[in-house]
Amino acid sequence: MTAALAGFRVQLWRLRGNFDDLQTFAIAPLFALIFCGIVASSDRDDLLGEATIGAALVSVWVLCAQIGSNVVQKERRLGMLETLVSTPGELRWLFLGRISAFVSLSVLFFPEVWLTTAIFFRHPVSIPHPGVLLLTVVLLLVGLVAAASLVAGLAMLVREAQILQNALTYPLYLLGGLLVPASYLPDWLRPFSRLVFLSWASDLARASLRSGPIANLGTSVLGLLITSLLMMIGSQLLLGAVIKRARTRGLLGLS
Amino acid sequence: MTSLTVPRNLPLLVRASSLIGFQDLRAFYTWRSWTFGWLTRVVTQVLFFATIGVYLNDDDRVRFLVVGGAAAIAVMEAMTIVMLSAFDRGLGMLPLLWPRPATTSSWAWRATSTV
Repeated sequence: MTAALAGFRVQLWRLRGNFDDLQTFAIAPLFALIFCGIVASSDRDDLLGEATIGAALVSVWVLCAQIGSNVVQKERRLGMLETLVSTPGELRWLFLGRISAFVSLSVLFFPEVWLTTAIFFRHPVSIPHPGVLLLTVVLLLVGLVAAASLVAGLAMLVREAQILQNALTYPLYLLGGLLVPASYLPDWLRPFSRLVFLSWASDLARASLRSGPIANLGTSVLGLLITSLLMMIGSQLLLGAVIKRARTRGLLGLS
Repeated sequence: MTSLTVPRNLPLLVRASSLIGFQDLRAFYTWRSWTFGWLTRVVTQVLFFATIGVYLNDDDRVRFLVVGGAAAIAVMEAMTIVMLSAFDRGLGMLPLLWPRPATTSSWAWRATSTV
């Protein structure tokens, strides 16, 4: 736990003035402009809220994939992994702390894209169920920490983490139903989509924008919670296993 | 001020820089990582934007987004040169590329990105 807290603090300190790691905050308004522009050009202003939330979710996921890959890749490039492993703190806890620091910042995407839509489309998105959105964001953060840890574990396994990071973007936007609900996917893909925590989170976030009672609220919350927790357990097991493998085979800086 | 002139040894430069481009590509990807990493990513990018058109229930919009999405990928591929230049800088290669004869690097970059 001390390692996780140290990782959290170190990451926040390292973020100061480091635009490279924060570039997604510059990209998020562009996602909002693109998605809102597409729906507005079809005279579907009623979908501006969903497009805005979609932009926030896409940005959150971009940051998540980037963190997971970067925490490994940057240390590997600097030749720091061996040194970090030799310290008394467990590496996966350190990663967890660093990832949590990043992920906690990702909540800022929501006000950022909201402001973009309000300024450029003169459409302040109303949120009839703010409590549901807040709950979704909190649970989403848990899922994101788990997902980024999973990406970090995979990045330890592959030679070029950058390719992995790239491959995890658009396929997950689709499977996670980040902009278009997963129910629009082909029938055979839908079960896979339900395994992705993002599909539950995006359903909940969209539901928070609609007035009136929310159908299947409990199921969606439970789905998001279960997929996030399973991923958290899986990611910690994977990280533990790949770190052990890399240590015993002397592959930390090479794999 | 730099003027844009066509170098006399243009065919040689294009050939050399294309070779660099292919070698960069081979060093960065394996056929598996290119197919399942990059190609899958760009195809799903087009599909992602196309599904927005489907969601809007607008066939014209679907066609527009498919063509536009594919064209945007072509632009994005060419723009990787910006990233590669940044990599060169990070690796300390830029000072070595700069004092080359003629306009090698600027032409090399263009051909590399086109590859």
